[in-house]
Amino acid sequence: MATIAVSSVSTGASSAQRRLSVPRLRAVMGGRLTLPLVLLAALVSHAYHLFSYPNYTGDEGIYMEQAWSVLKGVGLSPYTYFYDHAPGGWIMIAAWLRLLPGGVLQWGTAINSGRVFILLLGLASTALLFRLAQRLSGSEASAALTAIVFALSPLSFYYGRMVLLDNIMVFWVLLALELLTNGRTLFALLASGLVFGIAILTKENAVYFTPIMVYLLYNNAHKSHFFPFGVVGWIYLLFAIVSFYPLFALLKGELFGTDAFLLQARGGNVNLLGAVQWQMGRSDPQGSIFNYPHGTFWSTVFTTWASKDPIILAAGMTATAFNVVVGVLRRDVRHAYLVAAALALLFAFYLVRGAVLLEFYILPLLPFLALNIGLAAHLLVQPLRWPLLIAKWRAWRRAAPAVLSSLTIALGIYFVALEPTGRDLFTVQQTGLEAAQIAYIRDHIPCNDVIMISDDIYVDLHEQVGGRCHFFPRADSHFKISSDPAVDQRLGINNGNWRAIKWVIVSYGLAYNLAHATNDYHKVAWNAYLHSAPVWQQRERGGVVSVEIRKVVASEPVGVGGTTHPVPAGHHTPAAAPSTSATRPTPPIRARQPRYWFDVCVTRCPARHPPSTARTTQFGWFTGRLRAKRVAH
Amino acid sequence: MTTLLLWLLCGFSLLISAQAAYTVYLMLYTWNEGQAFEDARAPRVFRPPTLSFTALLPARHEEAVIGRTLERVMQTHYPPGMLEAIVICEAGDSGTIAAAQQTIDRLRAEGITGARVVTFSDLPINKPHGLNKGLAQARGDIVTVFDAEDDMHPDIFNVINTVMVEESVRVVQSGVQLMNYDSSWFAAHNVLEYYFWFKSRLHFYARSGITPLGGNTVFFDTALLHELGGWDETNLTEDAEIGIRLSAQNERVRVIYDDEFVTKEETPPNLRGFIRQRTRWNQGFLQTLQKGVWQTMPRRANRLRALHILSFPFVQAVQALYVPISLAMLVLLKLPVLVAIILFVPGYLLFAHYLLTVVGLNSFARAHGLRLRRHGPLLLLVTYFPYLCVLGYAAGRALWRERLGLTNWEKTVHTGAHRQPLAEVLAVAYPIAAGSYHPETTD
Repeated sequence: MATIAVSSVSTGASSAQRRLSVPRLRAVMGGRLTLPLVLLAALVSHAYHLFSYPNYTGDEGIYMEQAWSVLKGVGLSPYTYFYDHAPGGWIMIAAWLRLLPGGVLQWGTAINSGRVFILLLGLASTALLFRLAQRLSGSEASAALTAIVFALSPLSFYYGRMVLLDNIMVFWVLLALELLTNGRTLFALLASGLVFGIAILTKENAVYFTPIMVYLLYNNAHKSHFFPFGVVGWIYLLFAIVSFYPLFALLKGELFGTDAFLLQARGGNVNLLGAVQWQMGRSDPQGSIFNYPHGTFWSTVFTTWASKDPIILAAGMTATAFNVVVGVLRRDVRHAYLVAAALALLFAFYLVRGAVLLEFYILPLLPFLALNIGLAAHLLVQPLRWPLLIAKWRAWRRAAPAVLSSLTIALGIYFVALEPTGRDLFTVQQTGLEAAQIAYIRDHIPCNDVIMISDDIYVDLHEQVGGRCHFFPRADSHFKISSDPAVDQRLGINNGNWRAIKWVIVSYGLAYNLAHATNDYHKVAWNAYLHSAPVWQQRERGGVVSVEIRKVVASEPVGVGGTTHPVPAGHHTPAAAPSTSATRPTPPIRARQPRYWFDVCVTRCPARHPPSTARTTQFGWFTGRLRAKRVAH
Repeated sequence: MTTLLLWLLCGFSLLISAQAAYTVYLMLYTWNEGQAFEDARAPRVFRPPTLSFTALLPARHEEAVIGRTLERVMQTHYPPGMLEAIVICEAGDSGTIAAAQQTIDRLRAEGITGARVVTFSDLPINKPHGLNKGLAQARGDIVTVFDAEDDMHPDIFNVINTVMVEESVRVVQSGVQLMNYDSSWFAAHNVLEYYFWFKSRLHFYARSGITPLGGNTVFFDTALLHELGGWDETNLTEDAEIGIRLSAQNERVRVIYDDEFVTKEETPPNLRGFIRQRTRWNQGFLQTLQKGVWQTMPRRANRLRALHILSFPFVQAVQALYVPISLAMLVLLKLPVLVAIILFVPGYLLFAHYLLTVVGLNSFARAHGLRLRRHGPLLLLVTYFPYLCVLGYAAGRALWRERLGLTNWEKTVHTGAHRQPLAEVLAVAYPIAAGSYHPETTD
């Protein structure tokens, strides 16, 4: 990498010898190979072990089942679509699934098919980010650093492999930026409005990028002859694309509604405005950043994000602040540095505004943190060129890009080889548990039984495949069983009859989620769980992740956990009586224990710690010190 | 059955959308192609005059405006000896002949001798027939056509001379612009149709090698016209027809649109006149379509483009019909949501079209130094659909007349509306010519 960057930058070669060697090198590598190499690194590191780690999450399952539903022409969701998110993302996934020659289950499970799509989008995002960084900094080495930090950050590895709307949205936002900053023609400008509209329809929080988009629009167009057409067209296209969403709701008669969101669970009407209101008002009393260090924001930052990759967070935010200062002080690079800083700050504002913060919300921030790191590093290595002015030592010409390139390589190696998440990424087998679970269900469970599942295996159980059962028509998500009246009726649960549920398929974290639900929507699911006993169980080797299959049997609660009923290999006894030894008479729905942000669970601590499929949470040197501090107090 | 109907409905809606999107593309073409935008401008440095021009001025009952137009042609900034103007009248139109003769005599007195009147008494009495009569007597290297009410730029011949010599093209179409955008409710829409047609669409067509020419400010090599056999006397839109024939022969057409050098015209004074004019055009397009020369064009894409251009009025009629039909469908039937959304797509594109019109009006006003009324955009919005309906009606009327075989020329009345109210404006719009052009004295 170093050679490439050097060759591309050292254009001032004068001696005959250099003319002989460098141009040839540059012709072969410079400007042509850097991006492919970066992409190759991203491809290999993201693709390897893609289907094995991290564990399938419920959200991935939800988007896959909704994409599957679009693909089958059922609608935007197999259940009542309640406007939780705009449907752009999974419509695209559906289009992707349509292209697969082997169908939805081309790569074993449905989520795998989605992950390949995300992988391809991620590569495209990396390339777009590379180009953006190159344009803003004017340096290929800086662009390579940006792209590598983005692609190889363990946070990117971890969340960037998942089928999440944020991953799709990032691609569209970067594409809109590309068109806005690179486009010279009116139609490129208009296309950026269209693409940005698609980004918003993919995930609504893309709207936080609007100010910078508008600035770039003005910046690009105000001197051109098509300025009025460009601006009016851009705004109109954006509104037109986004307006399809409320139009859809209006046509379905679901734009307005009197019921607050989620009241639809008990006979109310779903409606878009209610859902928007709900999403906007999803505040978290503990979420404020001023609630340091006990707030949920800081706990997410430290226990979830910093434990995976402290570098991109700390360096990224520092670089952003640095770039703001540079942008204010230096007129010549003001545009580039302020644009980069604004991109990061706008989305950071979304994260810190004190509302509900899910761990993968960090995703859209990552490319822009990387961008700021790349730009700041570019400026910081510039002084290395100064000695050139004094001593005419040509090697100094190479110094700046060489340092940047070395930094890129060093970071890449650190991310991939030394960071714990990075290591897990290539070694840990987690998703095999779900695959085994699905295989067990296909082999043993009666086809028409009511099966309570998590969303992650929905498509796998509903897509028609050969075998004993073609599919399981009554396998439904625990969330929908508890909250969607249509499902409630279809399955004969009729508001509380948990006995209609015959099987409980426990994904990792399900028990925790049910036990910690703060409202009573999950009562049915929780009761079914309590009255079931495990017939099959598998645990990740050496890890915390475990999954179960439980049969609802008793009229008395069996309790949490229970013991696995021994099932002889090849011989299935679904009606096995539950062991009563583990029965806990009172359901362990309890108030959340006060937790401290540094109270990090490293391994095997299921109940108190929110289920994270991350195997290892490091950052011990830091947390350890703070724990000591607290004890001292 | 219902499914089939829904499929048809969706297909129809998507077809309309595609056509509307294509139209929007054509309207924006020049602005997107930076080079085309530059190319469209007229040269600012002129070559010395080398080509001689014959201006054909077919006129019928134009005594009000013909004298002034003739005067303008002969007093342009071009050596009078290299200019010839032929006013072509039907022999019985004594009013126009007298008015023209009066001006000719006055010009003679000033020593300008290139103007004369040519009359004809054979049938048909229409513009192409008159043009052919004039062509037979034309002595210039280049033949051009002006309508009796045209305000051409004083340097137009210098522009054309320069372009034709430098680029060795044999056909040049220069921009024509309607000016009186606020003289009636439909005027602004009509003005903007011209604006987008000459400023953008025509460049796209010229670049693809198919150019339906306009009726005036079009310049031909005289020999080329003789080769072609002149204008088609049976066609109601001889201008578009000859353009199609030229395109079929692969003749390159150079298009110039420069706000400064456009020829200024007026919209028809009332709705009746407008509908008649439109009917005539549409009928002419139908005739050209039936004649089938477009099928002999060199490339398939161009054949399709020609088909699109010639059938455009009828597409517009369908568009006008589509709006109420789709609205009725949405209200009366319980359509599946996806179908309903697809039915909405053309609406989005029509609105985009409307927005383009608003931006275009501003851009037009700025180019010509006009001041718009503040509620202009609102007015455009209110009149947008009625205008679409009028276009649709004219298209239907054309079909009807063509079926009945009514092919007489429904002439457009000219009052010079673009002249009087714009007198002051023109002085601003023609800064180069400010020395010689005094609208307040010539009017």
